[in-house]
Amino acid sequence: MKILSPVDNLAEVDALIDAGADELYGGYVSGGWAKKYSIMSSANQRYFPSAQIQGEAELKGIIKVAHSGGARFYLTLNAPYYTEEQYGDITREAREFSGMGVDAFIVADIGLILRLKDAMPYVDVHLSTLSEVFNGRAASFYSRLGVRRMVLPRELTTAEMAGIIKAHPELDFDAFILVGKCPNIEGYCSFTHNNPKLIWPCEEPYQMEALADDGRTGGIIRAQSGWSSVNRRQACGLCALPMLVRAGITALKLVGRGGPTGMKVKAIGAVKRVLGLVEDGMDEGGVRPMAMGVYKELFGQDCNPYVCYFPEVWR
Amino acid sequence: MEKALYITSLRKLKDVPPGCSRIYFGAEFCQWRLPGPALLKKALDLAGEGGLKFTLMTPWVTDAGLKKVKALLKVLADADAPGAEVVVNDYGALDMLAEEFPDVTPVIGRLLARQKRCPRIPGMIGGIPEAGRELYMRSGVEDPLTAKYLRVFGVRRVELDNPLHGLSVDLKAARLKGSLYTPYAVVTVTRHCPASHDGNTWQSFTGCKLKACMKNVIALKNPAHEASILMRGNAQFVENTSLPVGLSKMGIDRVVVMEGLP
Repeated sequence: MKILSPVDNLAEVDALIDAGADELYGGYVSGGWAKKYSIMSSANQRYFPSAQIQGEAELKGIIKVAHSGGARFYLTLNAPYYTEEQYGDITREAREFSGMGVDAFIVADIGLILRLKDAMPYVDVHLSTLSEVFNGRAASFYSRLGVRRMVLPRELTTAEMAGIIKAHPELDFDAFILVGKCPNIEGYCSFTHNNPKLIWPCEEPYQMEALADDGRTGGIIRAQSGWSSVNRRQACGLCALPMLVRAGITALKLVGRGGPTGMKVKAIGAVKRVLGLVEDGMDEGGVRPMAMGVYKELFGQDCNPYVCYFPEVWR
Repeated sequence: MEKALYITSLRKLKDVPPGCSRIYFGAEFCQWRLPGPALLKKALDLAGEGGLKFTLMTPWVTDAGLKKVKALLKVLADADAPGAEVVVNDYGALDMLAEEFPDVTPVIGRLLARQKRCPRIPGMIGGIPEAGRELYMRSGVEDPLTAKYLRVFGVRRVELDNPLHGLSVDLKAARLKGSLYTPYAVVTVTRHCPASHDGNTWQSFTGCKLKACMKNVIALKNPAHEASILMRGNAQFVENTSLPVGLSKMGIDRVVVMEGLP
């Protein structure tokens, strides 16, 4: 099972690979794109500069160093959709990126997949989690477009993932394992994510008022308020690693574009440690307390259901 | 302009206003709220008796939910319901429908239509260059190449929201027809449904028995922002009571009036 880590700059590539990353992914918005459309109309699903690789030279350097370290590099082109003008620009830019050595594009939009496959039939396209493959037939739908690897949604149970993978042994699937969790389903969420303080509308504290109430709104409000009292950037699925290994997940994906290098390195290390236990044959019962300990070491506090990728394990 | 009424209960069929020729019924966001085959049959019968065409709403689905959708599609395929449609919010459901129920008409739902709907956009869109701003006014399926691909699956119509910051789509170029929902635009959807939280975890992951979504609506307010978010079950909405001008020019030939939050 591979470990797929975010990368934001050339200086951190060696550290990430040394820590155990097998594959790297990152985002880049060209200067021309940013000037013409702005970062708020980003070519990928990030709307703040710190989550983007800064400059073409940096991008080329990341690819070169990644390859020399034996790691593949995937570029995110996963905006939910584009305008006609943007399709022309992004397809042209993708040709240039491919020429730089990008190993695959992570894409969410049907229109862009069609165009990339038409312009570069040889290119590998991975399906972004924004495409929300919640069932085996959805995987069939996207595989007809030539996609052979898909990032599964954060909201699937391990059993549901196993079912999809079993139905599609010909495909590869990634699962999120550490750092970022969304309260909402990313592909169906249209909240803007551009606050300079990086606090999103889904995690802000709200004043909540019942407009219709059968006596249960208190519980609903308590449940919803939970999101503003946790750090959703401390998400984790380490306890579920035995199930993910059994399910046949290809790669474990870490979130955290724009995060500090030290955090990325620690996160990779945490996954390596727990994965090692699983590969040595430790079962769920043994892994869980170990994983919870690793979590506390990594984030400095106990985990809880709000930051758990697989809430079914809390039952 | 065709007018449709989006109902959440068959009781609302008594209140269909004059001029409405179609009803929308089903579950748009949660597979645990899908009607069973018997209720769907009843809804189809009642709509037929009232001379109303029928649109079945289906949500995003796991494999378990897909089985429920399949059972409903069988009912719809067997029904004598001219003009019936199925709104799909999951490409797996579309894939299944196209292969196993080729005579049932699919419509791309709001979740797959991919629009920008955040209530904060009106306050920031002015700072985006014109070429980038265009993205905010459009939908993800009006791209002619995407629409051409979806036509292979029988898609001829897309369901759209009316965002607070405005709408400017060109469905004609994509050879699509559009339906516009009013007055509630969906902003986000979760599987961590707060109405399914049982004090320990979210039942929405494994099968919701609480159904607390049915009678509870909550407004989420942030003093820094004008528009409140309205939450029912696992979906959040903003209200927009004004309709854009030039609907026909955009290729929109149907307005779907929501009698309440779905």
